[in-house]
Amino acid sequence: MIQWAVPASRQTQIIREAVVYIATLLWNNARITGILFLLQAACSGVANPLIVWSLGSLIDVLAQTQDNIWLAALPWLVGIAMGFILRSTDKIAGTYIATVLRHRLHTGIQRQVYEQAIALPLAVFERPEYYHKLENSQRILDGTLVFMLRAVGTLISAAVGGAGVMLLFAQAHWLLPVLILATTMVRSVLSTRASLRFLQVNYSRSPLRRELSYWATLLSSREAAAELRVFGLGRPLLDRWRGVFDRYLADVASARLQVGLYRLLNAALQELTGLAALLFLILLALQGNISLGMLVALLYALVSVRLMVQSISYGISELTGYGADFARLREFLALESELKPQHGSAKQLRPLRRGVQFHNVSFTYPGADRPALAGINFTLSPGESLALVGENGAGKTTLAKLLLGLYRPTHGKISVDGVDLAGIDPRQWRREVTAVFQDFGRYPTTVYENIAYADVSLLRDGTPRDASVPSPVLAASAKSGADVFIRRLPVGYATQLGKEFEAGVELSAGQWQRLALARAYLRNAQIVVLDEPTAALDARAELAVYQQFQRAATGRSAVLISHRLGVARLADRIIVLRAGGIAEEGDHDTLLGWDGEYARMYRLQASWYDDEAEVVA
Amino acid sequence: MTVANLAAGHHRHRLRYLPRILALMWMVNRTAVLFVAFLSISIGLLAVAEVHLLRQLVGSVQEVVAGNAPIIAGMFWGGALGGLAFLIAAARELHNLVADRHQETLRRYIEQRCYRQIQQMPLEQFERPEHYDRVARARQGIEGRLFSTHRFFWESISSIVALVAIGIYLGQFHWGLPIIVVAGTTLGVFGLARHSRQQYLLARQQTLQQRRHTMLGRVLTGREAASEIRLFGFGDWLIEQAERVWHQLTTERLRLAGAEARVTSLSDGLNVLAYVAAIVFGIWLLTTGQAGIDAYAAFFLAIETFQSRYQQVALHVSSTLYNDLLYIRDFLEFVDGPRLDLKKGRRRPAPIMQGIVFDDVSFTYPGSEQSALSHLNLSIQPGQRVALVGENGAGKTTLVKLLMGLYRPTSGRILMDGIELQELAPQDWYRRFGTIFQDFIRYQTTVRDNITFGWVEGTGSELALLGAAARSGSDEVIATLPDGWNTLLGKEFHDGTELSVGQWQKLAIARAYFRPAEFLIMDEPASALDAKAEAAVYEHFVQMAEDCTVVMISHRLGSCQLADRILVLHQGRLVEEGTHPELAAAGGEYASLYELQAGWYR
Repeated sequence: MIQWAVPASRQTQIIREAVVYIATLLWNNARITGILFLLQAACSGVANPLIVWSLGSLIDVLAQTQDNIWLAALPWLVGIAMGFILRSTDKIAGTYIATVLRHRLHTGIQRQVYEQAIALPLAVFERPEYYHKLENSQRILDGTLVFMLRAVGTLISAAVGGAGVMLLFAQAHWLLPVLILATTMVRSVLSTRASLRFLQVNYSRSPLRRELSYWATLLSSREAAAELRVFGLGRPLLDRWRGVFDRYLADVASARLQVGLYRLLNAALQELTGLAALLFLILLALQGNISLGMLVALLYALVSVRLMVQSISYGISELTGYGADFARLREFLALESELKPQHGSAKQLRPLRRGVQFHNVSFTYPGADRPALAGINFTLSPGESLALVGENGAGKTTLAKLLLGLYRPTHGKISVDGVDLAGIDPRQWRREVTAVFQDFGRYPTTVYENIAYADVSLLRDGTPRDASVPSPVLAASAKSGADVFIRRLPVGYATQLGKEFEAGVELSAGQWQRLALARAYLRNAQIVVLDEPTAALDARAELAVYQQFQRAATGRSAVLISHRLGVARLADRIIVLRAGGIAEEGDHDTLLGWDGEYARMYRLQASWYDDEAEVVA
Repeated sequence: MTVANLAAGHHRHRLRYLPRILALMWMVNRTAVLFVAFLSISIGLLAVAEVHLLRQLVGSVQEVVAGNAPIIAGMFWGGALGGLAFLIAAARELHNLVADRHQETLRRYIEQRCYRQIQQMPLEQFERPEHYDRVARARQGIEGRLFSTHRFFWESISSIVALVAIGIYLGQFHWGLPIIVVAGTTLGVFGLARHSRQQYLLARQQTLQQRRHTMLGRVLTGREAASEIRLFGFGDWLIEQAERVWHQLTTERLRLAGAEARVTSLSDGLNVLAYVAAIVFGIWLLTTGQAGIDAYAAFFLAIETFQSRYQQVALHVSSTLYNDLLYIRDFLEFVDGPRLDLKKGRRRPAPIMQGIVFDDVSFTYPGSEQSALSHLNLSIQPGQRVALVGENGAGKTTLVKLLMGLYRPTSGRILMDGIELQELAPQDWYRRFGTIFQDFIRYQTTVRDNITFGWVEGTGSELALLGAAARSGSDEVIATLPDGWNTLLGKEFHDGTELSVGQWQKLAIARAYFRPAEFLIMDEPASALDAKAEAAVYEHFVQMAEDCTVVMISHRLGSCQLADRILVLHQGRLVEEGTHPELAAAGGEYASLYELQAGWYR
């Protein structure tokens, strides 16, 4: 037998919370449409009782009246027509209002999700739960919202209609409404449990679904196309995708079978009560307790009772299920945002006087069992340039992200001019720093936008024509060397990038990198971080970047991460990281003199350019 | 072709997709098809039985009340009616149970077809924006539509059965009855059909904007841009953009929904009229003695069933014809689209003897005006170590993609041992290449998979695997991982370990080394590597050449000293060619680039 894991009290709580959340959302986004929607649903509920009642009366009139039959029938004919008009109003106006409402709510929820996504601490992106919850929000937008509105509408109109029909049945015999109400309740409870169970299974399959969509995206993406072809991976990966799909199917199938059996049981229960009610009605009619018209009306009413019971139990079960979705959305929206005002206050940060100090800083990625950095102590003075070198995975990028305020130390403290960074509003601190990340963004928007993202005030008027591109953007792209290729693009700064979009141009890796540099240079920051800024650049561009870096660094602090040790020596100070700790520290000459790791790595690279020496390979 | 042109195609042409759909459904799951067909037709027939039983019941109640029949007669007809309702309900539930399962299987099948097609498309297709539109449209709700088309087909047949039966039943009272109902409903149905088509057209028009919206959402919520959004603070601006696009999308959709409401109200109004007319007509039949009260009671059920069935058929036909079949056509056209048969062409089991020749090769990306490579003439001998040098955008990566057979020359020929590359089976050609891609993939699976994906057929060769890991420096990465070779990497769907860019690159290198290939292509293999790993890559460049031809793209010109031959590209043309000493002495482009870099270490 199935284990029903959700206790009834929790279930009511879920519904209550979801209702409060949705009501708030409605109130803030679509007050009038919302009220119209509810009113309309209630009105449409009247249709069914009106039709069957008029119908029964009409038949009685026809069976009993002898003369002036048309006059006697007229009010009931009008009643039937009114009922039908109400019913179709539901179909027409109801659908339209629900569509408007859905779009309004969609817009509201979407905004909340986006705002939350950009406000969460960066480290959250390292956790699968984030994607899990994000997927849930997407599901709400793609489907749940529609179903939920439909369920609410159905529930209201079924409740109103149900009350009307009950009154009719009560006229025949008090037992009938009691029987029907009891069935409705049993059915609602059963189908709520079944649908909760299904949703639970569905939710626990969420990682499986994400895996499915990962392979699907990989199989159809542009980035992977070349590699998949050359390695002949299309077929094996397709098989893998299919394997995951089969696993998913098998899991869902067993849950679905359980739920299906429950549904069948439910239907049987209801049809049996329906049958009993029908026979009871006929007995009443045969004994002359109800008129023929009443019998026919109630027979028709039985059909609508079946639908109503279904609707009510469906409505309640869906609301519980979707309530769970909304509960998770609320969890997502309640995740701790780093941009909450209490996290920091405005400080005087410009110009920096003492610089940035790391005091015994450690950082462990959420979910990781060993720290990425441990016991880091150093000071970045104003105007100083610092090179971070070390093997892949030594912690260079993590250190840079801590400095930029994107991660917060797990232990220890970072202070800015003696003030704890944790007490400074992240937004304020981030205005003082700029960076080119190793895996910089390649945004499928215009060239102009790609650069101006670093200063949103420049984006207010959209992408300008080349002649009116503001001078800071021109200067930044000149500094980064991006201007050369931008001039050659079909419509210059207004060129759409990325083959995904019409007339989109794809850039080479080096060109993208220069755009990232331009973006970083656009910001007038006190600290510049360059994380492998020239990995994909040619020699001339590389030289330009470093010359610019030296110039840009005058008067600012600069942190450079590079494997090109010939470049690292330009820095005032070099820090060699090894396995999350500082191994060596000093200027180029000092470190060469120590003859340690730095000296070994430097000589290795220099040998490639030493025409006399035998190559060390 | 414009959108309007595309949609204007005649319905008859669309109908020819119907047999294909049925065949497809049949192929995916025969039992389900038979089951759905059987149930649909049975339910259609049961509808008329219901009307008849109701009439019998009312008639018998009348008789009983009048004292002309025993109570049991009334109870008999009541039981029959109840039993029938029970049967219909059971059929519906069973239908749902089977249908759900069928639909999932179908979805798997459809997606598989799509992905398989994508794998077999020529790589140039990926350079066209239409490609992404087509993929998006082919996948857009296709499984639902295919399934509903199939279901609608059987339901329509069931409805037609019911309609004919009930029409005849009604006609028994008076021939005018079915005519009134048919006339009213028919007029109303026309508007609906038009509307379905407009829905498709709108969805088609909106594909691009919809994709833009999806893209913005992805940037906003994804991992890739998370750092920059925080640092530069353009998240709010992106949200504004996303909302602007969304607003535009919804405004258009709501306008269409408004139009739909107007059309539906007209058609529903006509329906109500027809219904009332039929009832009035029934009263006239009653007063003139052409029908009894029992028949009149059954009228309602008959008329209502008739109307709803008729509307259902009309709706099914119009939405299938005007809407679903259009989507289905998009899907079928996509899977029938250009395809590269990987096995078609000549096979040459033997290794290359004379080498590869580029004979006046030019290449222009689809949709681009400038050629990426023009009039390239060069040859590569087996066992050579070739370095490709040039500025960003000079055409180096394009050249190796042509060499690997991923792109085909716009003009000119590429020859292998005198045979034109296009005559060879792509699969036979691809297998000769081990490649370190510049934009290598970070497979979100185990470390082992990340390396064996280079040579799936050789998954079992532990020795080769260990060798590849050692030579690429991956072994040191693997040693630090919690589960060693079986560590799951990436955070996208499981709680795996995330690697640094350089560590990922080492795995990409191991992947290429693992493949037993005649050619090793290294596209900036050391861009993110530390000094030690970089040295190891160059060392490998030298050693590999003993049994392998190596082509390396590098901006670290020191490494070019190791090459047998250096090719210098400039704006899509070959400008210099020779060994390091030759080119260094020539004092051209190469020499100046080399001096620039060497300066850092002096």
